[in-house]
Amino acid sequence: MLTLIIGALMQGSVYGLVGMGYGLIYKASGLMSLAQGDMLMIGAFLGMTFYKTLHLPFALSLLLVMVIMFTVGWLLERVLVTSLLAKGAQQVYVILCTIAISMVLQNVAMFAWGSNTMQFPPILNFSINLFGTTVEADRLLVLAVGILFMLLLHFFMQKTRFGTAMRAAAQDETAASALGINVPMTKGVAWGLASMLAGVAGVILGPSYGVYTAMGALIGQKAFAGAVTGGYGNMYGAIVGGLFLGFVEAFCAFYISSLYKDFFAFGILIIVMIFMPNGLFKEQVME
Amino acid sequence: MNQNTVLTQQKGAAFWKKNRLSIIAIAVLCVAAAVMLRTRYLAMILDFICIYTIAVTGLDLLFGYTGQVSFGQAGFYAIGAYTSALLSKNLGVPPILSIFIGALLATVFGVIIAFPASKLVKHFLSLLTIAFGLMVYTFVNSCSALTGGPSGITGIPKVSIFGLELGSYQSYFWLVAILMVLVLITKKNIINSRVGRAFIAVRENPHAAAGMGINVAKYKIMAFAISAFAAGLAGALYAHMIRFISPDTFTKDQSNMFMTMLLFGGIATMSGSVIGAAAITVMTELLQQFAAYQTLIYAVLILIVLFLLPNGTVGLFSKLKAAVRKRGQKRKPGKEGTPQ
Amino acid sequence: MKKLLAILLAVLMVTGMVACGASTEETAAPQGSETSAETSSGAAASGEAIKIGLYGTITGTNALAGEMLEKGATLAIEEINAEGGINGQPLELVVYDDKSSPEGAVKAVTRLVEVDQVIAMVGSNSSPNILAGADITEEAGVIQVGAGTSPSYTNAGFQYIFRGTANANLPNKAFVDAMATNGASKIAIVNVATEYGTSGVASVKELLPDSMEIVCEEQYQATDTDFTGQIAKVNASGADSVVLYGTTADSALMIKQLRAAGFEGYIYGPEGLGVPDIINVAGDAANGVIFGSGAVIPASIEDAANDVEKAMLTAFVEKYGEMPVSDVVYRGYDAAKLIAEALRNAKDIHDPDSIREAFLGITNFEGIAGTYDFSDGSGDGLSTARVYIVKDGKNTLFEG
Repeated sequence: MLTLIIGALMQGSVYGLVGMGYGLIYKASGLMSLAQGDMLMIGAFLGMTFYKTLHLPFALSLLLVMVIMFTVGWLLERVLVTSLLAKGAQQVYVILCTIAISMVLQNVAMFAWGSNTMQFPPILNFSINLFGTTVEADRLLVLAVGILFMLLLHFFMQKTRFGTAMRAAAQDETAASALGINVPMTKGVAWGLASMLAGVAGVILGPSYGVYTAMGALIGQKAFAGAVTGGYGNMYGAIVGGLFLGFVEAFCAFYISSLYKDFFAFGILIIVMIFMPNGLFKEQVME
Repeated sequence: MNQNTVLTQQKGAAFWKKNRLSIIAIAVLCVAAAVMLRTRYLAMILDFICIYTIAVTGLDLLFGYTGQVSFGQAGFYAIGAYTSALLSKNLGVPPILSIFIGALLATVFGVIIAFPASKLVKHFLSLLTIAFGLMVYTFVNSCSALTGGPSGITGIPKVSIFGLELGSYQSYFWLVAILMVLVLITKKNIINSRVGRAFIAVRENPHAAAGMGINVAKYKIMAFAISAFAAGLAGALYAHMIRFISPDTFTKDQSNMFMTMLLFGGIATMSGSVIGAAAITVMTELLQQFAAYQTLIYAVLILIVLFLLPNGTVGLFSKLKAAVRKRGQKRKPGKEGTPQ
Repeated sequence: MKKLLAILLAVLMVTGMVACGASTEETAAPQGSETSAETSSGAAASGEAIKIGLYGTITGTNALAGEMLEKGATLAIEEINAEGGINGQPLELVVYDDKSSPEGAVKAVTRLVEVDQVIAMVGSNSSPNILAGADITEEAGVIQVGAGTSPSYTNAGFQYIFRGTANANLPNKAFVDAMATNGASKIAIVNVATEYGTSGVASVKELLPDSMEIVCEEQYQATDTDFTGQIAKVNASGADSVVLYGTTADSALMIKQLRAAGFEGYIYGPEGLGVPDIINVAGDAANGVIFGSGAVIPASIEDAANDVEKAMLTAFVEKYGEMPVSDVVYRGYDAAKLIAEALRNAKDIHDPDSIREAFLGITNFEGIAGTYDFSDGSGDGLSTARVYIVKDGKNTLFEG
C-alpha cells in the first residue's frame, strides 16, 4: 500500500512538473505545445551526458540542463512560433509546428545518442526504510525535486517582479504592454520555463527509468491530461491534476486491472471533466 | 433545329471557356489514374490516398469548419475497421454492408462523445478526444476475446459487389474512389447549406451564433457525428483493403497523421484534405530511400512548408491563382474586358 | 473553387506519378550500372544483381531492432558477394521501413514485390507486420524469411514464409525447463500488451507443468514506465518466480522496479531479456534473470557460442566499430544467409517453387542461432534453444 502511494506520488509529481509547463505556455501565449514530452527526453539525455559521460557533479549537471533547456524553449518560441504567427498562420498551425518539432527532437536524439536504452547512474545510491517498506532514495528524490520546483515556481511567479509581469501579461496583453511590460519577453520566458521544467523532470527520472528516445511520449501526453484535469492554465491545478492522475493510475493497476489501466484512468478523467466542469481547480472548461 | 445546334455550340464554347482548366485537369487525372492503376504498388498508394482523404475530409468538417479539435480520430477509424472486420468475418455479413455498419457504429460513438464534447472548449476538448482515442486503443489491444488483442484479426473477407470481387488494389480503387468523391460532394453540399453556414458561425463565435438562434450544441454534435462517420468509413475500407488489422494501426500517431494531413493541406477548403492526404502519403513513400533519416526529413519538410506556407499548401495555390488572375487581367482587358 | 480543386488534384497526381516513377528508376539504376561493370570486366554473362528485400522497424520506438536487422543482413550479403554471390551473381539488398505498423508493412512489402521485384525478402522483426504482408508475398510467390519470433506465422499454412530465428516456443520451452530445475512452484506472469507479449505468454502457459501454479497474471502497456501497481500485486501474490515477457526498455525497468520493491526470486523470460541493454540499465538488479534464447550477444567476441557467431561478430566489429546491441542482428544475418543458401541450391531462381523446394531442402545449415532444418515444411528451422542466466552482470550459460 505504501509502495503504491509512493509510486503514485512520484509519477504524479513528474506529471505535475511537466504539466505546469503546459499551463505556463497556455497562460502566457494561449498556445499548446505537443513537444513537452520530448523536452523531457532531451533533458534526460543532456543530464546523462553531463553527469555520466563528463563526470560533472549532479547539481552542476542539473543546472546546465536547466540553462540549456530554458534556452531551447525560449528559442523555440522566439524563433519558430513567433515568426510563424507573424507570417499570418492561424494558431492551430502552432500545433502542427510542435508535432514536427517533437519528431525532430526524437530523431536528433536518436542520431546524437543512439536508439538504445541508456543507463543513468543512480544519484543517491541507497535505499531508505520507510515504515517497513524499502524505497530507493532516487524515487524520493523525484518527489522532493518535484515539490521544490513547484515551490520555486510559485515564488518566482508571486514574489518577483518578472513573475508579476508575466502574470499581468497573461491577464491582459494590451494593458500590460501599455504599462511597459515586455510582453513578447514574458512569452519567451514562459516557453523557456516550460521546457526547463520538463528537462528537470527528465534528469531526475533518468536513474529510475533509464534514458531512451521514446521515454517522453506517454509522459507528455499524461502530463497534459493531468494539467487539463487540474484546470488548464492554473499552475496549482496542474500539480493537483498530475498527482490525481498518478494515484488513479497506480490504484487502477492494483485494484481493477493493469491491462485496462489506461482505459479506466482516462475514463475517470472524462467523468471528472463532465462532473467538475471547472477542473479540479477553477478554470472555464465549458461555455 | 439549326439555331439550336448553334446555341448548343455557343453554350459548349462558353462552358469550355469557363471550365477548360477543370476539363483538362480531369482528363489529365483520368490518364494519370489509368497509368498508375497498371501497377499494383501505385494502385495501392492511390487506394490509401482515397481512404485517408475520406477520414481527413470528416476531420475538416469538424475541425476546419466547426472549430472542434479532435486528436482522437484513430478511435473512430478503429471502431469502423474492427466492426466491419468482425461482422463480415464472424457473422458472414457481406463486407459492402458491414463497411457501412462499421461507419454507423463509429457515428454512434461520435454522438456519444459529442454530448460531453459539445460543452467543452479548447484544451478540455483536446484531452477528451485524446482520452477517447487512447481508450479505444487500449480496448482493442486488451480485449483479446473480441478483437484478437495485439495479434489482430487476419483473413478479413474481400469486398464484393454484385458478385464482382474487389480483391486487387486496382479494382478496390474504384470502390474507394467513388466513395471518396461521394464524401467530397457531400462535404460541398453541407458547406453550401444552412448547416455549413451554422458550422462556420459556431467556429467563428459560438456566443454570437447562439445569439442568432443557432443551436450550437446541436451543430457541434452533428459535426462530430459526420467526422466519426467519415473516419469509421475510412477505417472499414482500410480493413477490407489490407484484410489484416491489429491495434498498431490505431495509435495516437494515426490521429496525429490525420491532423497533419489536414493542416498540411489547409483547413476549411475543398481541396485541402485531398492535397494533404495525397502529399503526406506520397511524401512518406518517397522518403523511404533515406532509411533511418526519413522521419527527421519528414518533420523538417513539414516545418519548412509551414514556414513557406503558413496556412497549408492551399495557401500557395490561392496565391498562385491570384497571381494568374492578375496577369490574365493585365493581358486580357483589350480583348474581352468581362469582369469575373 | 471546382476549377481549383481539379487543377490541384491533377498537379498532385502528376507529381505523385513522377515521384513514384522516379523511385522506380532510382532503384533500377544501380542494377544497370552493376550489369555493365560486370560485363566490361569480362565476368560471367549473367552478372546481374539479384535483388533481396528487407523490411523492418527502421524508425520509431523499435528503431534499434530494425537497425540491427538491417546491419545483420547487410553484413551477410557482403560476405556472400565476397564469396562470389549466387553462382556469380551478386546480391543487392533493398531496405524499407515498415514504420512499426501493419499498413507500413503492407506498403513496404508491396513495393518490394512490385517495384523492386525482389525474389526473396527478410521479413520484419515484428510478427504482426509479417502477417500483414503475408498475402502479398504468398500471392506473388516471393520467399519471405521472417525475423519475428511469434509462433503465429509459421505452421499457418503459408507456402513461402519461413523463419530465420527461433520460434518463441523454443526459448520458452528452454526456460520453463530451467524453472522446473530450480523448483519453481508459484509463478507470477507479467507481460507487455503487444503481440510479442501475449502470444509468448500463451505459449508459456501451455508449456508450464502441473507442478507450477500461476498465482498472478499482470500486463502493462509498451509505453508504460511505472509498474507500481503490477509489482505490488506480484509481491502480494507470494510468487517465488516471475515470468517476464517484455521488450528491452520496459523489461529493464520492470526488473529494476521488481528488485527495488524487494522481489528476490528468479526472473524468467525469452530472448528479449538477453539484450545487453537490460544489464546496462538494470545493473545489479539483473542478476538472477534466466532466459531462453537462440543466441545472445556475448560480453566479448571470445565468449561467442559457436564459430559462425564468432566470425560474424568479428566482421561486425570491424565494419561498425562496436558490438551489436541486440540479438536481432543474428536474425537478419541468418535470414539473409538462408536465402542465399536456398538460391544457390535452387534450380531456377526465378521460379518461386523451385526456391521453395531448395528451402525445404535445407537440412543441416549452421546459423548463429543453431542448426537449421526446414524439411518438415512448417516454416521453422530450429528445434533447440539455449538457456542463459545473468550472473555478476554477465550472461552465462545456465547449467542445471
